[in-house]
Amino acid sequence: MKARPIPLQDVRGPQDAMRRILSVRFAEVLAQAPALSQPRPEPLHDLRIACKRLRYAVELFADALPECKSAERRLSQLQDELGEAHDCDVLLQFAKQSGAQHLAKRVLRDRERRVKRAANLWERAFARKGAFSSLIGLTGLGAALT
Amino acid sequence: MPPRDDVTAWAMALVRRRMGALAAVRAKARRRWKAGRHVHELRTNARRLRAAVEDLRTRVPGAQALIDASKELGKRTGKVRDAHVLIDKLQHYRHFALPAERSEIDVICRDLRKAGKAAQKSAQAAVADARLELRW
Repeated sequence: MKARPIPLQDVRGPQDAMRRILSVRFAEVLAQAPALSQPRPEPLHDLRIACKRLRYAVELFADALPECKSAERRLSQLQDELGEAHDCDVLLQFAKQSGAQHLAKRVLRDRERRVKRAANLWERAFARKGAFSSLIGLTGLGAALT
Repeated sequence: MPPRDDVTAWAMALVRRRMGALAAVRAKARRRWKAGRHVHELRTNARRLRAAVEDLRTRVPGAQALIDASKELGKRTGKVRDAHVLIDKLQHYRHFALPAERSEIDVICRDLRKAGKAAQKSAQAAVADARLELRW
């Protein structure tokens, strides 16, 4: 999934630029979130990449936006679980290629567990005073999920 | 050259910080290559730099060259990293597996070790490749 270009020619200052960047990256994550309820690998991979981009942006502005620390932490946890699920998808290919049926079953179970954990982390982030509260306040996005 | 405004100076300072972090890891990897540790650090720093440049690209001179170089670095170190990560995961599974599954895991681990070893040279060459030095 390609990163959406962010026009910054007309921003009024760094604060405005940060808000615009975070809005675009947060919107990308929100658009990919339905992947958590689908078993297919590709949408989940896209969500992982979108989370990574948003996390790096939050990290980049950490000095100016300390209120986003909990969002950064949550994105890191999400990325860990989604990363493990992605590794499972890669391993599943190897297992299928070499006819490793026992291993394939274990990998599938592991994947399912990781996706469930990621979905749980995601849902809790939108709770009242949840990890994404600062991002929601800053960007005005995602309020419908709270 | 036109004078730089606040936003451009701010954007360049952020990207410069990311470039500095990547250059430091690269220098460390050049001094003493430890694939397991350095490849991971290199890749995450290259990704952080790329993400910063993509976010700020309309305010960063030479953005595409920076994106291309960090992408190339990531690509050339990818196979080694994949092999390490997958072998680690398989070893964890192996701990709980019965003999039939252990044999399956061992076969895949062997193939991954071979692939990882073959990709080592490419990763090490990427670290030393002057064309992938990131400069403004």
